[in-house]
Amino acid sequence: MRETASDIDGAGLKLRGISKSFGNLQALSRMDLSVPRGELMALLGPSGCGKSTTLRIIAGFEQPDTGKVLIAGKDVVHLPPNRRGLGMVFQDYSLFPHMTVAENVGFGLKIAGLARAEIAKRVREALKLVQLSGRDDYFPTQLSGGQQQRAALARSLIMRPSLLLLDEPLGALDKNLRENMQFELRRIQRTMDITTVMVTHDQEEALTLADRIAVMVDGRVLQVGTPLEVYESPANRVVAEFLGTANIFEGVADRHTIRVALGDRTEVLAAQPELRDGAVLLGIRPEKMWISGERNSRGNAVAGTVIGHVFRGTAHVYEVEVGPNLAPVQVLEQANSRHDTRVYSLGTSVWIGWRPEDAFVFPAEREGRA
Amino acid sequence: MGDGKGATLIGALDAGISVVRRPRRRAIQFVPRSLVLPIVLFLIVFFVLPLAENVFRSFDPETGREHYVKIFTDVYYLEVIAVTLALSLGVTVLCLLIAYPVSYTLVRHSGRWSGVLVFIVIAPLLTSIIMRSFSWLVLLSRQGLVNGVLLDMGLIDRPIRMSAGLLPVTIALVHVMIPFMVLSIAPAIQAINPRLEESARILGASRIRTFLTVTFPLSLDGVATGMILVFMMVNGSFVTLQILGGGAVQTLPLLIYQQFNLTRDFGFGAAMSNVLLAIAIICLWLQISLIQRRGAEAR
Repeated sequence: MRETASDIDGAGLKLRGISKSFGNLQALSRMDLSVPRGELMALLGPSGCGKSTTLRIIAGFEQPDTGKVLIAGKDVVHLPPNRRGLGMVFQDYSLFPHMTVAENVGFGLKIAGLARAEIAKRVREALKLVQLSGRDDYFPTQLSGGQQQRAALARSLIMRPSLLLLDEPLGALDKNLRENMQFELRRIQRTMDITTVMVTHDQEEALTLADRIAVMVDGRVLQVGTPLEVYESPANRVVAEFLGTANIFEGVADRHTIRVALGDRTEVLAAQPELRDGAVLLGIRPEKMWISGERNSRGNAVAGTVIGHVFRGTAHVYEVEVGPNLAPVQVLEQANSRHDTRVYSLGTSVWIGWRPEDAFVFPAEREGRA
Repeated sequence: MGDGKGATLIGALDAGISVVRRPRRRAIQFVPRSLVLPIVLFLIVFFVLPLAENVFRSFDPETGREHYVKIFTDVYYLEVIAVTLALSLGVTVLCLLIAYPVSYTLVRHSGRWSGVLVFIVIAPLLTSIIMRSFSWLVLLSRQGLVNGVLLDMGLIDRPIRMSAGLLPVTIALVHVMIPFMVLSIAPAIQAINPRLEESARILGASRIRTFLTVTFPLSLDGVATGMILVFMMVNGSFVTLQILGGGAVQTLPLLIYQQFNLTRDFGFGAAMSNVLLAIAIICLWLQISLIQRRGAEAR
């Protein structure tokens, strides 16, 4: 994070109390969001959570029922899309099929009435930035998916927009290309130092690309934070389960101790001193847990039986039953070395556990919407 | 006659488009070749042979190519050809101007009313062309609705004679042809991804610039198809001109009819119908080569 107080006040994007409904469907309810200048913010959520609507409201294709959209401190709600000075890349790239790559990239400048020579010069620069030099006279259909993606990016960036909007930017690419483009996109965004809002349902994409993530569900922002914050300390169960996998246990907090009925143990520690007493949920990521043949002294430990095992190339994932009426616990163990890693077969009695500080805890009443 | 020709031309057009648009793919053989034989025989007997006979008749031994010389040198016939082409062009342009906004609204803004709108557009096709033309005669006659309304509003003192001539012919032909234009243009607009228009908007283009630079160019295939379709159908239209022309608008189909039924100069009539056919073929060729060039550009 590289925000300063003046950045937050001045440039960037601010949404204040945005509501939008379509008929009976409340797509967004009183949504607030701040994106400081130069930051890449990812709106992450399942389909129908309102993230695309948010993007379309920022772009000006939808009017919010209430609220303000402040770009560089100015309310743009009443400006049409063409007067907002934004850049937008759609999931399907939306390159104009009847124009060459150069014509596509130069479209905005031509509309703005720039001289031909100036347009040609800046198109060359933009194509160089996205590594598409020499493809000027190609038609979009002659480009690969990744090249189309970069051409669409160049078409937006050439306008030097104050804000770049990306709608599922890598959604239509295959896996390998997507990983390359993630780095590429990040490099370009950093180079241009351009405030960016990205919409995605792909948690990995959000974690890799974003400076901060806003997790949205049912038209509301549940949590905003850096990828690390959102992943390591989710604000509630929905966020915890949407981002990655989490083992969630019900428990009771009593004077800094959280009691959870687990196997033959009923008392489990978690380091959350600020927590108020009462019913809580305790969550722990599979990769934060250890699995062993014998009782390990590190922190909490529970005995269980292996009831499932998957090998994922980089890791072994186990499902361990820890007690009747309890959901099986997922444990992920890195496959460090071909010879060192012991594989536990189904039915083996094992110990699993975690360090108290690796768990996250939140009050149970927040759970209602899971 | 006009309708028959129209129908075959639509078929030919469709075939032309589908053949040209996917030049690289081979047609999938759904049926054994022998099953195509009956229709080929039918077309040979009732379409190719009569056309061939028509060509022979126009060049009969006594007169040679005299008929064609007459058509292309006599000012009267040249004028008839010019009127035919001008009327076709005028009706085509009017149809385009009216049908484009209708098609756009139909595709982009009608929502749940689209079914109703499509029905309203297509409904005129459910009535025979004679009925539609005759209805205009009734509406535009001395005692008709239009004159009545104009009189009541005090815009005119006495009924205008407008049930015969270029005006009623144009009105009726535009009315008859608009469905074909809409049905050609609407699918072309439908095929344009709205994201393309949104991309143009966010890049700074106003609604009008977006239309001129993105929407309209991308719908040109449909516009070209519609224009050539309507142009050819007006070229060959007969009933409307017969009912509403009042002798003031002479076109090739009317002259051909006169040659066969009144003058009984079959040879000359055949020559004229060949000229009409040649114009239609040129139109078709124009359209196919247009689409081919656009296709080549896009690849």
